[in-house]
Amino acid sequence: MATRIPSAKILTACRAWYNTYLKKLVPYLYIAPALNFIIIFVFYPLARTFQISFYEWNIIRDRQNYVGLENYIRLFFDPNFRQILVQSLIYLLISVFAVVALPILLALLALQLTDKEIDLYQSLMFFPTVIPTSVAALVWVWFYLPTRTGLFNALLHLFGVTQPVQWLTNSATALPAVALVSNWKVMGFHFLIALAGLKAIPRDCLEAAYIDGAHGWSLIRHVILPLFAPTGLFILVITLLQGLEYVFVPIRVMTLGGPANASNNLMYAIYQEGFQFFRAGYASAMSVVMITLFGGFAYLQYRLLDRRVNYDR
Amino acid sequence: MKLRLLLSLCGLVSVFSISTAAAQEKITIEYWNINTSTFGGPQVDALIASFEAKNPNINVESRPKDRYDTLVQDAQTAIAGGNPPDIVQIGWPYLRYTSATLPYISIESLVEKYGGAEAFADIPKNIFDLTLVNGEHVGLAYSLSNAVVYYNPELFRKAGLDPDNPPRTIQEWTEAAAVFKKALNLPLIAIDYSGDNWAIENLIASNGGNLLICEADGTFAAGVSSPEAVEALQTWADWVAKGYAVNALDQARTVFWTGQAGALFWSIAGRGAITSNKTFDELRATTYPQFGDKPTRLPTGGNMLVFFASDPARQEAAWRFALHLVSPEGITEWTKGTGYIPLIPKLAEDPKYLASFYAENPIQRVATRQIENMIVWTSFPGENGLAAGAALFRAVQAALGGQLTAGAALSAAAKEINDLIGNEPCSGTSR
Amino acid sequence: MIASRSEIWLSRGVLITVAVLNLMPLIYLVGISFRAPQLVFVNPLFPLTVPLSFENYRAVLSQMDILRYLLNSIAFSGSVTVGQLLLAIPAAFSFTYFSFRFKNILLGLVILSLVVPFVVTYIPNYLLLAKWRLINTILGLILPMLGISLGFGIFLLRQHFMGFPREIIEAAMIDGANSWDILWRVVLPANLSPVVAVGIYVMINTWNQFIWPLLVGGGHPRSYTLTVAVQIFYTSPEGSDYWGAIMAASVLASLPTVIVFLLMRRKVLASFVEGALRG
Repeated sequence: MATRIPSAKILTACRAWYNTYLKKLVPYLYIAPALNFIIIFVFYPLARTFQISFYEWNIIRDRQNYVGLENYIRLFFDPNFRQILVQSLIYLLISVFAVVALPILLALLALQLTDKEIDLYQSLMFFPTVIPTSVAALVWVWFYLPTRTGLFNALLHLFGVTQPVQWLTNSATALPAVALVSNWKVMGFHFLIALAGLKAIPRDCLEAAYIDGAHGWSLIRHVILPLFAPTGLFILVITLLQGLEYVFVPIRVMTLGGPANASNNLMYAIYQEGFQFFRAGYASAMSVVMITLFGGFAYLQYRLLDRRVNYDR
Repeated sequence: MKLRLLLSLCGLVSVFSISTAAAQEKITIEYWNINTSTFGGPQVDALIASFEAKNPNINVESRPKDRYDTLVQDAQTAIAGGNPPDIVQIGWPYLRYTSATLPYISIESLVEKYGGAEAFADIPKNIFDLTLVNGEHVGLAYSLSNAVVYYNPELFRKAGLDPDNPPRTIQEWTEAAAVFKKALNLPLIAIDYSGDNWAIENLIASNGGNLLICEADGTFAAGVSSPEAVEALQTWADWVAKGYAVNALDQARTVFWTGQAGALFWSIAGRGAITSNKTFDELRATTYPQFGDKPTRLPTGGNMLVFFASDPARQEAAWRFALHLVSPEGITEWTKGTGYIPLIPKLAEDPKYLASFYAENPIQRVATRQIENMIVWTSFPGENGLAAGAALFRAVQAALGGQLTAGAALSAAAKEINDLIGNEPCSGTSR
Repeated sequence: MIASRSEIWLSRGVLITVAVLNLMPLIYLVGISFRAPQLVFVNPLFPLTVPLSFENYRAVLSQMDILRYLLNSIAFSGSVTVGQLLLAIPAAFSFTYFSFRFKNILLGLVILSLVVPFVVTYIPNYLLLAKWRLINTILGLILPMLGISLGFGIFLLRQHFMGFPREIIEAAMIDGANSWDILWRVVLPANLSPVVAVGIYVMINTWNQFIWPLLVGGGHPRSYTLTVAVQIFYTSPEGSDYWGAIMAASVLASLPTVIVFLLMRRKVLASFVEGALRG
């Protein structure tokens, strides 16, 4: 026989149920929309890429051909792939000089100037970063025109070199030419970060060391650099992780990876295999290799930074 | 922040309203081509206009792209995206790739559904069958061209060369280039090439080589590493190395028409473009150079019309449009504006159509003189066709850039090509 | 102060030289755009020309449907910015103030999403949009962009929220506010600065996007964004040698982000730095 439960008790029961169960869901509800987008548009593609890498597919056929590890094996023996890996490293190496070492050096130099001046330089250096890369690359194509009327060739002409250089179609100059564009674009940004990191060093620390007798170079070496290390490391890490991405658009606009893959790198090659040769399986295998390399590196960086930061504390 | 919110909402609304075109009974089809304001664009617009006048319920949108390979790639991407283009100018080298990979609607099935076969009665069979693969016609042959050498008589005179007697053979061109460079310190030769292998095939084929050969076991093999092919590419590479030729992809056209090179190896279809862009007065043309006394073999440039529309109404509209394009009036308009060889050769003598045009355009006659030398432009077969073509293209670039000798580059390319397409079946006719 | 007088002047010299070299391409960009078309190649070494000619701009404005492309870019950037903010703020809030079982795992996932290179996502996302028939639509452009690099905003805002004094929140809770109110009425208004910073960062980066809009919107002129339109103009044979017009179009495409930069200089610089240092 069901006893009649007074309504007040239902309310308390409901509230109790809410407090124990529903409330627990609230944090998840806040995150859910964001997480949905991330899962659908970042992690699902990741999984799909992994899946496609075991097939041969041209993205319009309904069926995909299962080929197991064939794509990976082919990749291993592909001389083009080796060339692309080497060139990716070259790009990164150039970046280390141009957008890690150089901005830090400039930031050190700028440290001793007045705040107003620093502000001015910051803004001036930052302009390239604000402009769309695809658009900026066009100006550089104009600079690199292979006739006497291209800016760089005209400059060479002034110095007596009459034979115009074909910057973007010569395999020796293509890579550096393209690298210059992406580095130019990012330099101001890293300069900004470096400055911020340097300015965060407490002044009294510097002054105390100065009084203690540390000057110029030794001041830099023993006081500034160690305190600046986390920022410096950060600049290095984002350069290495994003370097290949930064140069993607310049390659796409200026050389399409050519001539003969001379300016190609891993990221662009994946795009090429996918949307120009329509070998989605091969492109996906390349992606998996790249993600593994990057993932491994990111993990290393995480561990390193973690330790550094703890050490700092 | 509020302002930005407002702005973006406004943007969203206006864009959505613009893109939701009110439902029309008009059918809109897309015509993908490589024609621009200096290269056939006005003709395309004129042909579209005359078609729309006769067919008021059909709206044709011209969608020009810059190169044949981009055209095929974008078409494939669009097909994958669920928006197949209705009618596309597919370049000849992509014939086999299209046949193997893309969901084209064959001419046979279009004729069966919508009729119109009378329109091709006057097209010579060998030309109409250029699109024949495995027993069906992948597309409708449309634009035909061959390679000619344009040259700048003024620069010739300045360099001490005789513009009335331009070089005829590769050897003569090399000698003339030496003279030219010494006199003006400019390259004599500019060879237009970008994205596909037409330029190198002209050289290889004229030297007796073949890009693809059909082996005894019925499969394809790369012919690009043969001695003839290596010699052809090495000649070009040597020209570049000595400064006799400029290596600037399709910027070669600009180099020529701004007077920075003496001659341009390009398609007759570029006649209109050069004429409107050149900064000098007189333009002349001569036949493609021979290797010694071997007759030239010139891959037929141009394109065919391929149909991808899946919707029957759009299919029919696209078909009607194509019939308009290959009508005598359509062909006349097309040849006049571009330089393409007319699909129906007898129109060239017909005073109603092209007779006077030919009389006034000696350059056009150069192309006509070379008709017997035209061969099929090689298309790499199978799904890896695009990658195979790219492998050859890279080898050409490597040799021209001085990274590798022609021999080394082409051997590597041959290996790669065989890897990619070596198992594709062929049937007697190579290329 | 710490360095000698001559060292300071040396530094100045170096910095000025580098700054000028850095700006050179942009100076040329603007300069060439104002040259009469036939003079573009005359004297390539000098960036500026007198007299100024607006011919290139006229050509571009008449040939390209600038207004539509501008609207598309605005719709794209604006929607992604607003969208990402609307998604990131609650998520960051939740990660900061709640403790729940899978918090660390989910947070890790969010950060992990930033490591995935965008190239990898292109093919699958394109095919996904194809299935939903969203190719060549603005919606198709926007949706995947809401997920990609969303983690950045979440992470950044979380850092800022963590620095927000707990007492204020506790006071609000005592007053009976629930979490929703606390987020939108207490935490957000006090943290507008980093939110605006993230917004600006996302807006500029989205505006400058090119590959994705080309892939998804490049098929039909009605869905071109400004950056895509400039590229298509450049690769189209009629644009390809018309450098005056190319430069003019490029200037027009860069104008919005440059204007935002000039107007909100400090905020922009701060937002980019925040992004970096907090990372």
